[in-house]
Amino acid sequence: MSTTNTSVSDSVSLAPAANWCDHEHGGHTVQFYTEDQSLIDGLSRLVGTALGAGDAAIVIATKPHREALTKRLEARGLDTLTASMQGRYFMLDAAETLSMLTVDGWPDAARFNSLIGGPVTRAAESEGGNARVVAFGEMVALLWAQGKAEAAIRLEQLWNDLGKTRVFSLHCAYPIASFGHEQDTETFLKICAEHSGVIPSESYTELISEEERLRNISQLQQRALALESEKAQRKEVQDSLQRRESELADILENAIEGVQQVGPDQKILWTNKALLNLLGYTAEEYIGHRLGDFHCHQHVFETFWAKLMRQEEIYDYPAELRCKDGSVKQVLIHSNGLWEDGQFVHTRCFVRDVTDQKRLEQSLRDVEKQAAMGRVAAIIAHEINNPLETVMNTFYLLRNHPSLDEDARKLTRIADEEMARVRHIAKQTLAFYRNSESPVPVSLLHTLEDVLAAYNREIQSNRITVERRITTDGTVVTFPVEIRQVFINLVGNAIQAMPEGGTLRVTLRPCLQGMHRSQRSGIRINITDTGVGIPAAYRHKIFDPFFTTKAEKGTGLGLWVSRGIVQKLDGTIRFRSAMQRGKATTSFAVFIPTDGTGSSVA
Amino acid sequence: MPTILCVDDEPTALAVRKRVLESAGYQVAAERSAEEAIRLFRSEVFDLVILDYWMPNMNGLALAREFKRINPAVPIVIFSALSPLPDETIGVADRWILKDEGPEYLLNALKSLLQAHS
Repeated sequence: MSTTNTSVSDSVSLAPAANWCDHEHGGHTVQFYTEDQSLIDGLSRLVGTALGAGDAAIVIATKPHREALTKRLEARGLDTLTASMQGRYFMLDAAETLSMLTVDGWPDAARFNSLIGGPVTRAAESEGGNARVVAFGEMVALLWAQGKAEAAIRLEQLWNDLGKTRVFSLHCAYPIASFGHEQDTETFLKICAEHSGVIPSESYTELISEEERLRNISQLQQRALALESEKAQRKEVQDSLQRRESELADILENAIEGVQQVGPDQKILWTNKALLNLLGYTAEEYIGHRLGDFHCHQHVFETFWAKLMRQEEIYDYPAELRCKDGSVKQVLIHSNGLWEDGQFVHTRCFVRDVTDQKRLEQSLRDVEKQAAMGRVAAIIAHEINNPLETVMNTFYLLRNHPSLDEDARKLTRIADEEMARVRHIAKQTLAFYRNSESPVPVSLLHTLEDVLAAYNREIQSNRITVERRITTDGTVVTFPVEIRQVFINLVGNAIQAMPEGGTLRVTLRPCLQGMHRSQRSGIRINITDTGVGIPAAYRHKIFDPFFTTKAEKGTGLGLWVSRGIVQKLDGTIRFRSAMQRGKATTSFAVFIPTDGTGSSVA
Repeated sequence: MPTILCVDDEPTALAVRKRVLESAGYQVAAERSAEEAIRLFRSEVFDLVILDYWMPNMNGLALAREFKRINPAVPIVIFSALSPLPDETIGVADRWILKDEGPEYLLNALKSLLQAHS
């Protein structure tokens, strides 16, 4: 057998003939075939010619091919049995032989020489050593079919190596359909390169005349060119499609708005990063779960789903979604469904977060409501205060009228007290809803002193001692009337808690509130009394409106108003009340923030 | 005794307030219309003026400005059912008193103001 060459152009001749027998003895020919029939035709001609001429044949084939060959040979009247007994005919199973000569799927040279070399030698020694040997093997095709292209090439090489030490003609065959992919081209050429002759499949070899074959070659060349061109175009289209798909996937995946698909079982099929980030879940915690589990209100979700199932297109559907940290996001949902053959496939949901917008709208509504209530309160206060002044004046005149007896005078005093309550309520209500002007610099010290001066008569009559611990003027930019109202309420409460005397301690100092980055500087005002104290049962209610421990005297609005004012000033108000050595001490602490320069406040 | 000019568009309130002031010993001229009040202020001598802030046709502040223009020495009290004191009253009204403070408060305030201006 000729030496195996590596260059296709040097050694491989494209055989114009399909008859294996026409090829040079000692060569290594590969037949590509489309139909098994074609393979059997060639093989039966090869073996039948050899046996008929008294030569030897070795066939290593699959069982179906062996059976088909045997039938053909018997039909030609060839006595294969006698030929076998004479040592001129060897028939081996391709799969079994392959398994014996490979180690871990790789053809082993020693085993190959032992298993294949033996029969080749014996065949060559038959007829007194004069027999020519032809061999057919399709173990290589089996290796190729198993995806072991390199192993197939190695086996071809082992055959070629054997051919250097023994003289025989070798033929192998591959179904051409095995090389139907572009990536097979390189290996196909390598396989061809291991052979001295290549026989194309029967679609070419059946062409009889040279002209037909040349025409066929031209057609094949054109088709190859067209295929290459089409392949290039297809690749371009495919690349373009892939780019487009990537772009679309990128748009959905990285969109700022949440996008998701939900299946017919209401389970989430896919969602983008924006929605996961909005709600705080990982993909595993969200995808695959029922969408309704993330809605705060089931009836809202059910209405939404019902609309989708009616194939409605949904725009700006308001909903509330539960986040991983327990908070709630308010969203608007656009959605419709993909339907195929009347079956719902999945939703196309777009989810927009409107939480901040809603909060702002609510704040604006609150502010407007507050302003409206302020205006109403102002009007009411005005309408109350006008006649109130006249009533108070009237009772003043009545009280001082000389004709009034003591009993009647007592009645006027009752009227005075009740009118004082009316005044107080009107004042408190107006103070709470007052639509304040711009903040101005206010000395908290002066305000406090003014309030203490206003209460001087009560302080004296209750025999209260006032202690001051003042370390700052406490000038802040704030709303003077409001802050005065707070001090009036707190000082008034402290005095009323000490009807039989006690100590009223007022403290005014700069202060830092909070920790680390949330620390704020401001002024702290403490108003402490040694009065009756606040019972533990009431302490959680004292800032509630209309809660009072002062029976007929209290309106229950003072602390509620004060807290509202302090919070509007971005401050805090806290209290503690404790018993110490049989005496109660109640202290209210008000913090009014500054910016550290003592010049601004919310 | 000091003479007070009291201006308010509400007749009942004006009449009762006049009696309260008179009970404290003041002589009181009460007017419901701003024009009459101006005419009276020009023609007679007053020690103090009390003006209602919110009146139709002319508010107390405008009237106060007119009185100050005529005789800046006479102290003016703006009497109102509402607070706070608007910035514009600074330099015009000598005192701003809320109607809900009560008659004693008003009388004490008038007394202090008159003493300060005597």
